Amino acid sequence: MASAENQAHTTKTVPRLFDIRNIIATLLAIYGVLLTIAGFAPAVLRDHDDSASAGNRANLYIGTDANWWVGLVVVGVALGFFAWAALRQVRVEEIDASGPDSDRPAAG
Amino acid sequence: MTATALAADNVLRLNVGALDYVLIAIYFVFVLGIGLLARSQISSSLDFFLSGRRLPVWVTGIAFVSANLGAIEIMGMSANGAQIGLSTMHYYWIGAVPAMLFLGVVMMPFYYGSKVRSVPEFMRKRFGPGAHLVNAISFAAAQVLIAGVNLFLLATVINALLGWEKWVSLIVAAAIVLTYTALGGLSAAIYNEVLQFFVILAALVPLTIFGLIKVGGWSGLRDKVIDATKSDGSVTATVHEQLTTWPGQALSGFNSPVWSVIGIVFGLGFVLSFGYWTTNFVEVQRAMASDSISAARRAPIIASFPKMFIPFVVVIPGMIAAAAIGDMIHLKSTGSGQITYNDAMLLMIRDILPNGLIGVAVAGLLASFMAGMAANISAFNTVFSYDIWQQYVVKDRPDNYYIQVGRAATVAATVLAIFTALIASGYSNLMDYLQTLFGFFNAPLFATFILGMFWKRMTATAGWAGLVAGTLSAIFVFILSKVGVINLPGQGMPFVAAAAAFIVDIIVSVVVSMVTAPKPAAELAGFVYSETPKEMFFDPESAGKPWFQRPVPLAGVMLVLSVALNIVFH
Repeated sequence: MASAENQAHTTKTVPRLFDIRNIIATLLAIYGVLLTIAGFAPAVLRDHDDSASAGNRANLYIGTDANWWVGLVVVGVALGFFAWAALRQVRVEEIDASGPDSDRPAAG
Repeated sequence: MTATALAADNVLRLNVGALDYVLIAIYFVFVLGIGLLARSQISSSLDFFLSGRRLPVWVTGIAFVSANLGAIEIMGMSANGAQIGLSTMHYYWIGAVPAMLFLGVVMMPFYYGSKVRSVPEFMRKRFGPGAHLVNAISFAAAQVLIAGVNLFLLATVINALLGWEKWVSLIVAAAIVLTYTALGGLSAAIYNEVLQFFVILAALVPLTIFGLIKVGGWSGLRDKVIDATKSDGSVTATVHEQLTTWPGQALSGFNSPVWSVIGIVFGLGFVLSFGYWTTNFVEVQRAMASDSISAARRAPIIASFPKMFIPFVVVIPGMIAAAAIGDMIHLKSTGSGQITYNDAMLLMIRDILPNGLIGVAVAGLLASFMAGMAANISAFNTVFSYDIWQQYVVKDRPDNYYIQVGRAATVAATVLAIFTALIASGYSNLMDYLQTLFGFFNAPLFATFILGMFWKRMTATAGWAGLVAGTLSAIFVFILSKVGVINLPGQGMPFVAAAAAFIVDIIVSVVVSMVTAPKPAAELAGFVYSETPKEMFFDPESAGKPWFQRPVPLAGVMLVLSVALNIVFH
């Protein structure tokens, strides 16, 4: 059973319709931009109210500026993923370009 | 963590704003979108159940670590950090990492090289239907149970954080998981696990860094750690024990430091963790979806690298919570309070993060609950369809038929998980016992597998007899600890139970093999080391590649790193 299925796979090229790296990058980019905006325009946020933390030994609240610190880092990571996906394309396209030495379709 | 152990709701309620909900909603759109996109790539049952064995190694490696980075793990291990401090690191550096390396170096060639489609299928081909049924049915039942407990906890956490009615979040989460796993199969589950990994890190890494800044860095944290005290005034973990990893008596509960080290290395490290990481199909399935034997072996080895460093963003926040947050300090110094240790991570999110980052953290928590559930369901539908339905009920149908079976099994498992979640809300102790019980299957499984892979004389009867005897002896140890014959105050009971199960399984398997007839050698190729032709495990891709693209040298480097972490934080 298993071997028959494997043969079915090697005989047809399964096209890659999407690359998970671009999806990760898109989500992170949206998150990063929204966080950065929220960091520079804290008026869009609710007022900080954490009465339950009154008994803490140290005030832990980091403040709304943290949004843009993290936001910019996340945008950077997103750009990294976009660049990786653009520079190292999935192998199906390499088969078209480089010929018979890689006969197995691979995900990206 | 135990199923009910969360604080009364309003203590944990987050100050959630519109932006937070927007971030959560965007995440849901992506999750469902991945399900739809993955659907277009399914043309055979192997595509649905094993992603057509064509995922690249970085995807399967991240999915491997992410399938285990569920919310239960995050909340449970930060609870351990709050309670016993750095001793928790043993779950990672002695527990998970060596076991993951062993899976990649020693066991994955058997799983991938023999072309089996699941761990129970390996069991069937090596030992026949007896051991196979024990393995397949107990595994399938455990997955439904764990998925249900996951769902119940998700509803409880969302209720505490956001104030939603429990049934709303329960139904919404179940519907989302069902939609993307039924549409996209294992690929959708794996891709979402990879996405979840980055979202949860985007919340946990800043949380840890900000928390450390606020308590005055690592030295400030060390100064603020306090003794963990029970309600009767006895100290369960001293400050010194919480700031060192060895000998880990606060973790094992042994009085003797020597026995504590032996218990942790043999019980937790060798038996319990090797059993979990090398035989649990939820994990192994991720590596099996890789595109070559080299990639399948490297997936768990690559995964061991993030696994080594994850405790820094899970355990350390727990320690910060117990050092700085008033409610947690009260609990830790008196043994009672209106919160539990399981709330440590949630309290950190409440007290440190501003709106915006709260949304990322809640999306990450929701994602890890749903990814955990999807991992259980995608492993369940594979074992159910290939190992139970195709093997014993309806054989020899066209391949397409088994995709339909897989989709139907996904729906059935989700409905069963919802019912399990409802039962869990009424009988949480029952759920805790059942989870402990299913945990007992792993240690004897590992004993049977490892003996069966390297000893060709081991017989089919020995396969199931060893499994049953090993599991029963673990249950026996568990009962002894419940009635008070064995008294271990820490978390050492599962270590002892697992060690007993392993030893009994080996003894019974050897004795039974001596009096029963072994399988003919010809049927053992690919399943027993000495009977397998070298070509079967040969990996043409690795030849001539640099060290970091070959499994064994890479595993060596990871092992050295893990030992170094043990030495630095001893």
